[in-house]
Amino acid sequence: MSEPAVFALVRDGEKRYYADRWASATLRREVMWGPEDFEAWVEQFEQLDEWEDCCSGGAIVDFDKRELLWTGETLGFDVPRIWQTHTKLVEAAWPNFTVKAASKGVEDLATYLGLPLNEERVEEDEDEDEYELRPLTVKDARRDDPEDEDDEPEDEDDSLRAWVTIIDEDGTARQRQLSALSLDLLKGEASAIDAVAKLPPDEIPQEALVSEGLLLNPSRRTARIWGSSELLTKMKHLGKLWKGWQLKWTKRGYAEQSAASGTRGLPMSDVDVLAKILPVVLSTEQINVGAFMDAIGGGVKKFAKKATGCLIFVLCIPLVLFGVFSGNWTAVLYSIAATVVIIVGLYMLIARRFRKAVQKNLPQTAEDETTTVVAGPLEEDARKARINQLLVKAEMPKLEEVEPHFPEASGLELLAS
Amino acid sequence: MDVRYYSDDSARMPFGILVKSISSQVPQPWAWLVAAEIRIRCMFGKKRRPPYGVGFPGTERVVSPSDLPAPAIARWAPILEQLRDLGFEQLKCEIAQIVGVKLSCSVTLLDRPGSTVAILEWSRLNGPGGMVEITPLELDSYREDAPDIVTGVVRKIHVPTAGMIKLDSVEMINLDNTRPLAQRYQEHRNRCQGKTVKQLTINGALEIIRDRAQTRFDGLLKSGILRELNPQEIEELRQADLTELKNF
Repeated sequence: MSEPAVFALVRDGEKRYYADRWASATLRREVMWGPEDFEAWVEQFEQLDEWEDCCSGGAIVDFDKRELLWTGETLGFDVPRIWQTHTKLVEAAWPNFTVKAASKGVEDLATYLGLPLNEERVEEDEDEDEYELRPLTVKDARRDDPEDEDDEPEDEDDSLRAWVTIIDEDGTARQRQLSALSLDLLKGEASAIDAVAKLPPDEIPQEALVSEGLLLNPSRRTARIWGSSELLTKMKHLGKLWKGWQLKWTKRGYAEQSAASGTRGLPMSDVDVLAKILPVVLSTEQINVGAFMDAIGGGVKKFAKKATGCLIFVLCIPLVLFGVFSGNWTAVLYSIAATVVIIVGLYMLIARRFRKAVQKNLPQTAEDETTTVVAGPLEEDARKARINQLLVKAEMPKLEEVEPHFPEASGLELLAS
Repeated sequence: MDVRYYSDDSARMPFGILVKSISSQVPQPWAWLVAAEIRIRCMFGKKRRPPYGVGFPGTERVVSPSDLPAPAIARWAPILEQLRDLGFEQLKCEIAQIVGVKLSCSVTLLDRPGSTVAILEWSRLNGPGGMVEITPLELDSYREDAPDIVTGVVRKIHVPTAGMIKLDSVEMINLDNTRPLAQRYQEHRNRCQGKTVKQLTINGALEIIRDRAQTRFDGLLKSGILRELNPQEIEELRQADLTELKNF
């Protein structure tokens, strides 16, 4: 259980390497604070003698060439518009730097440093190529259950999806939704295009729910595709398989696909987008074993409190009934008070013993972990002031306009879910 | 022209329909309690404040498809695609005249034989957990001197509601929208079999559709299910906060 990241700081030709066990999980937050704060954040980690690439994320800050190359966890940023806005903000936070996301992950970082890839990692990557995360066929990518004809779509299905639009010869559009663009569709296989056309018609989704899209015009043999940087990397190879088609990558995918469907669609506003990014950026919570244990512990505590409440309620029902039939309410009140005291006392005793037992059995690593701080100022007001400056620089709505739209989840929940 | 607005009259509405209409806004067990409370209040002359009022037929604003609300176009996409494939042609799009917390628009289509009119609606209104959007579809076949044949294609939870309202001018059933529309259209045509239904043309259809809408509206008004809102109620509805309603 870790999210390791490796870092290289390059200054005056000299390279310094650092690593941390959890930094990949929060990297999308820390890059938002600009080069000075980011460097200070990296320097608190363990310094390495050499580059280590057994990591899920990392970054290179080349102060000589003024370049930032980074890769890390992007949970919550899978909607292209959110990712593009995040990139825009990072660029504004790193003036005079070229900011790039490493599309091939840590491999790109090693390549930048001119280092050979670790052999074990190359083997791992080859294995990963065989294990494809995307659905292989359109059938696998269906969002509905073809077996259940009476299945009614859920009202509040907010899972991310791929949106496919097929333009007929007369210019009218057919809308389809998939869990993701399947591999056969990405290869432009005729059978896959037929299969997607035969799927049940679907709605035009909100931009906030679309991770990738495909706009097909079979009569003109043109196609537009858009989505994540992972998809872009994939299409650099698979795009060549679209024989006889004119396939183009587009950055304004949602807007183009909506316009082709004769509508503006349901796009995200700048405020909607920033409300997804800024709560994470402003948070100062850390992800580590301790934080996970706290989160789990908090959940268990909440459940135990509810269970205790229910138990008290259930035990009090016969007492109240006794009061109704006997009319002896004084005895009932004393009995209820005694029941509450006994149950709450028992709850506190069990909770204390449980806490002690968990602490005793906690893995040593959780307690031994050194505490690190986040990049940027630690005080809430100072963080907000800095972010407001950044928003002005990036010509985006101010924080006070976005804050009312923040989700209720904590920074830790947003970072990890 | 001053627009008069109408709303359902909870005092005259059958209790079952009242419960169903409330259950679209609050969970089912509470709907019974709220319906009972409304009914008791009505008995003492205190009427429930309606959440919205709808203008009478003819007050709708005919618009081009591009002027329709974007969520309506998004929600209608799968239904319109199926109607197109069944040979339906678009006659008009319109936005309803409403005061209060509801938005509504519709598109009217006619099939190739001219025997079935499809009226597809989109409404956004208050629901149990905030704003909800619904897209009921109505397949209408009109008859001379006999009740029109109407087949509603709605969400499963709304199927029982329609059968409760009886009007002399229509024979209505509701079907759920989980099956392909081609199947529902065939079921509507089966209902028309052996009966003489009007054959409409693209040019003449709108007048007959308007006439039928007026007849049904008058029927609802006569039965007491609809009532006219008084100026004070209309003024109160004009003051309603529409921020969430228009937030899409």
